[in-house]
Amino acid sequence: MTYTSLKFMLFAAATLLLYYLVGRKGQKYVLLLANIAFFVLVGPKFLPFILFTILVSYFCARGIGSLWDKTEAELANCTEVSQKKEIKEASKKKARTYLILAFIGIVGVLVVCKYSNFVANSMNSLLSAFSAPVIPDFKMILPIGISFYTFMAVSYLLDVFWKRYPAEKNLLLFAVYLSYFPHVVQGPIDRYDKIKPQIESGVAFSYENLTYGAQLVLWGLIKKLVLADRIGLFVDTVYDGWQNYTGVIFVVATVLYSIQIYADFSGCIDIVTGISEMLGIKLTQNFNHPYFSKTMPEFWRRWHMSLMEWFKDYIYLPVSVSALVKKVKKKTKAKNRKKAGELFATCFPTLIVWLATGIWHGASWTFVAWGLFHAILIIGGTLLEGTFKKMTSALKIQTENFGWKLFQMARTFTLCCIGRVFFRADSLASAFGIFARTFSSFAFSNLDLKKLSTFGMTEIDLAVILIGILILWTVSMLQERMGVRETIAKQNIIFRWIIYFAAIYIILIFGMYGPSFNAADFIYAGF
Amino acid sequence: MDKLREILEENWPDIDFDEEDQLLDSGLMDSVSVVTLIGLLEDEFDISISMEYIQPKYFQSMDTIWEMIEELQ
Repeated sequence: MTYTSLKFMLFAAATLLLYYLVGRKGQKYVLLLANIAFFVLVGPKFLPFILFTILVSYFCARGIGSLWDKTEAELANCTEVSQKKEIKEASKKKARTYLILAFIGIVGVLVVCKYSNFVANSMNSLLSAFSAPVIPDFKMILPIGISFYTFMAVSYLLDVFWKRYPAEKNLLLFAVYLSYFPHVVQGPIDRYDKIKPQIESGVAFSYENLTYGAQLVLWGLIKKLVLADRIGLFVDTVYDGWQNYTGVIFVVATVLYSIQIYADFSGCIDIVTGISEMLGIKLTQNFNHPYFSKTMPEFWRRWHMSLMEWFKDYIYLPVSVSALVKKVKKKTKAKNRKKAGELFATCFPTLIVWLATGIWHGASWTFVAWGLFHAILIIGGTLLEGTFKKMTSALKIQTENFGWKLFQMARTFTLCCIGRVFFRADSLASAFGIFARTFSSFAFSNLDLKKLSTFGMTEIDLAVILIGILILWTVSMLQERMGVRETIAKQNIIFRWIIYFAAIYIILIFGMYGPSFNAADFIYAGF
Repeated sequence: MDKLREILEENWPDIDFDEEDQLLDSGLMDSVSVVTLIGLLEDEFDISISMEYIQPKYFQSMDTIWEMIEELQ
């Protein structure tokens, strides 16, 4: 059951009906039932995995929370500074044990399920070079949503450990949050303190929530079924048979893939955010028109925002203030090499974040290369920021001009597309092969529109893609300037329903539901 | 407090620290600025800022930063 299926839509409608029928006090119980039913429908075999993560996170956080409460009480009765320090340190040590135990449990399951074959295959490549016996393949299942709910659980545990909020005493509320069906498969990676009050209090029925949510669901379905899946026909043909193509075809396929992955992932997020909005629960914003970004750091503040916020809060900041970074800075300062220490403090946390981001996306060297590519771009951009400023000033470039901003956007999109080759290719050898073949015979004549059928497409598909991209771009531009949904809501009822019916008809007529097609899985569901 | 003001004004001359009380929420300072500031504060006030204190509420204004320093000293 994917988020685009009729089965899911019926499931969401039944949940909504029951949710508002039981009233505010009973809504959290309906959500728990709905979450369990969702896992049963998607695959009951995935249920024990999330149950394990819920229980381990809940009880370890409770352990940490009890320790903090006990410490506070002890500190209140203590007057000596040295004794206070001892109490704090002893309590922190015990809390750390709970944290480590929880991480071994929940992150351990993620690592074993997601990365054991990757490690085995990488080891085998080495072992085969020495003619040593190889490690057999593990038959691992990848529990749906594990990368997302594990990260949510980690954020909860660390927030409790860092005393950002107290540990949750109500297991039901925590279980509803972690298994919440709209965000459990592909995010957004919501934080507990943002979601809990919304689940706890329940919501009264609101026509506005219902219509705004429905609009978002329709827009998400259009992005996914009409645009992303149709572009996928071309992209899959080129990337899966890359040995058969050269030159400009790869440029077109990669640009289209960048649009496909945006329409696919943001489309999914629109669907789940819309469903959640209908339930009166606001999810974290995950996209903010990333392709309008003028720099790579800006792009990553606007693309998959909840993941990047997660990496900032739980990897970048802790590594930046870690004992290792402090030690290096201190040592280099003592040796009169302060600049080297600062360089390390700038580069090291960024490198760790991007390697982790790459590996999070998938157990493959292509994702490691993709992460490294971004680390180089971000670190390079930071280190050369002053030089770039001097250059633009020396060349008398008017940085506020529309033309310059357009150039910056095109540059960022191009860099992003280069990275996407690693992201989409099935191996590093394929990625480098694609780069080599792109430049080996770069002729526009390679792209013959008369041969569209060889890419699994018709002329209608091409027209739908081009019009779809134009609509996507126009809507994104409008969203940058105004609230599109609010504007629609202000129109009279006839105009509003014309828009809704048009959207429904577009999905039914142009959605990829023909006899030979099934709606493709969401790309990020695979992560 | 004067020393803190000096550090802030020297490193972020464009920000009016007497007026601003939403340094992070308004986007005037980001995570990179916070990390830089932490390094400067640790050196200047001989304190160690742990992750418990690296929260938006401690970095929204000069006053909240100063409250954090006092707590840690």
